[in-house]
Amino acid sequence: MATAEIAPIISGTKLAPGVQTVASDAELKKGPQIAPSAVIQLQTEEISVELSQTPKVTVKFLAESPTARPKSVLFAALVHPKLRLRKPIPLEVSVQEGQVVLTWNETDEFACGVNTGEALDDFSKTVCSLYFYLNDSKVRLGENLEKVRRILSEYIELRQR
Amino acid sequence: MADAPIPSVVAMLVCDQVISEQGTGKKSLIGVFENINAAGFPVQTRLGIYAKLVDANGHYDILIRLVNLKDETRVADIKAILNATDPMACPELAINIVGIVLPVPGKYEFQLYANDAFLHRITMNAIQGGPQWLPPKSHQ
Repeated sequence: MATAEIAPIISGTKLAPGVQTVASDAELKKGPQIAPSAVIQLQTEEISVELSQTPKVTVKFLAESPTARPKSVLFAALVHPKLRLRKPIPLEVSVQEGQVVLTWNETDEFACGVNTGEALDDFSKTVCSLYFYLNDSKVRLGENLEKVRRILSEYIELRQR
Repeated sequence: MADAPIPSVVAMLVCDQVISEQGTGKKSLIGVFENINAAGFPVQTRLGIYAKLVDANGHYDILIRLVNLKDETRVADIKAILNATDPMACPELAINIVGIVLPVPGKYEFQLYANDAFLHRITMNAIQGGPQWLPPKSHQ
């Protein structure tokens, strides 16, 4: 699991659709096949190419398989047409009873999911609902919720049309 | 992300290949998919990733991380730099990757980060067996 190459996107060569697979049992026993043009990397190596929008691109294919689940994550994936983030929300990541739990310590808000991505989706929904609830003029807020509303407003704002 | 505003992702797709037209810079996405069928694993493949952002203005260190969702192990990290100079423009990321190895069948996720902040994710399924590509009858 250690080969990589980035192809410049100016090439228009059309390949057969689908995936190139190992064809025979004998080849399967050999393990992953290396494409003739691929660069073999024992650990990680940076490859630089020129792209139109991204001047420098590097790819790391990892020889080992470390977990991608971080202990903390900066949340910037707010999905709502009326809201945008002023700055990323720092979340702590933990696993409880097989569920990934994200905790926003400043407000004691949390979200969970079967993996980090689903927990982040859940957090996005939670925080959007909370923003609109706390900013509803019909709702009277206590001291704690008013504090949460203030903190939320530091991170989230209405999108300007 | 001290100064640069947080961009939003309006589209992110995985495909066989992204072609950028010389001159206009228009992107063509060839073979958009969400399932990869392979006779056996590990399998080596090539793919293209396309993402379109809004509200981007300034310098961004972009990271696209491929993760096996079964145990959230990292398969690959793809790094790029994005300099968005026009806040009204919608920058596009178009990256072709050759030789990517999927170790086992299952669900995989591409996670998009900008300046270490998580922006978006898309998933794809690696399936053992399934439909095989056959050449057109005229080539048989």
